Amino acid sequence: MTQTATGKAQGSEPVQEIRVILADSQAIYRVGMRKIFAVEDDIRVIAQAESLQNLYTALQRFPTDVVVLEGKLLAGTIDAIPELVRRAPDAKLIVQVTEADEATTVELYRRGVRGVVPRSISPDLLIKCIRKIAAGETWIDNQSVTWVIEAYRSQAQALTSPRGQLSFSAKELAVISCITRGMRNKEIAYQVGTTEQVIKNYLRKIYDKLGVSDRLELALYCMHHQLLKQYPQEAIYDVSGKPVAEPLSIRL
Amino acid sequence: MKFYPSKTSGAPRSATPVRSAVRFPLQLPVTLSTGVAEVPATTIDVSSTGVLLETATPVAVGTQVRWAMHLSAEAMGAEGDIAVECAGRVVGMREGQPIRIAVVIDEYRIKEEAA
Repeated sequence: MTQTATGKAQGSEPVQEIRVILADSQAIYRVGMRKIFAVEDDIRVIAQAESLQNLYTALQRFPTDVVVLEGKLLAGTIDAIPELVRRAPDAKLIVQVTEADEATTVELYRRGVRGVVPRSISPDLLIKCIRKIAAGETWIDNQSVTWVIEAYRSQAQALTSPRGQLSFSAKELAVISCITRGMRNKEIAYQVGTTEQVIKNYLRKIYDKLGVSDRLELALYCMHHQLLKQYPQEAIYDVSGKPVAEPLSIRL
Repeated sequence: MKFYPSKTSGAPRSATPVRSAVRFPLQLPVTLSTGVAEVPATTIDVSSTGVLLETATPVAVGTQVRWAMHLSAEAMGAEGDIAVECAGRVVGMREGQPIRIAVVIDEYRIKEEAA
């Protein structure tokens, strides 16, 4: 066989490289992982980052298949994962954690992470993890599967079963009422007397309170639990058309 | 009124049916419009991504359908009924008495009907 200029034997299949960014605040980890991947002919480290900001820059510059991300870099930044997914929708995320706990693990998978691995993972397993995730799979251990399924089951139960006391402000109820009538955010803002951004903030809060994910799910929730039936419309606005200020509680 | 696709416009909400949304056990009478026939059906459960229906008429998997679910004014605390107009595809059918059809919701629009 003859060699081509790129070093691949002519007639052989080119090796599909997995482009990896290492995001870790500790240089020793980055150096160590780089050495591990250096001997693998299908994994190429294309960039390193020691902070989230550096990682954002790297993702902007380099097409990336997998990001190996230290969990500590996400501390205090709730929207980091959605932001990373938004900036690089094709890049798959692996988060390395010092200690696995149920809430963090479930939340990471929920937000779009493809693998949660311990910092103490063996080199061979990390390489296997990267290859599996690059191929489109999710890397999840038995304990995490149990946690995620339990979280999903609890959420489903919470949405379809009677719940304890829920508290909504009058404005939140006004927004819910408008959403379930098919109004758009701009129309609701006008109705309620605020800006579109404020309405989006209300929506996010309502979604989180009820555990729903979109307008249709909100409407279905309201139908199933008859949420708005508890409040006559005139209780939400006063006679001058202004929303009533004090919070209102309901028992479902 | 605007239709809400759950992902980017023009693309189906999901290429393969994924049971990730909560299913509400709502029994609502609907009529599935297939383009060539109007098929009466009743929902068994409804989620924001799909609906399971009972019907007496089979509808082939892959059929594009449109239907509207009416949420009563009384239950919704509104002046008029709420109509959720949907467009989707049949992704599963189980023969039997009655026939069960699984439909994915690709687009939907919520609007309040006149009182």
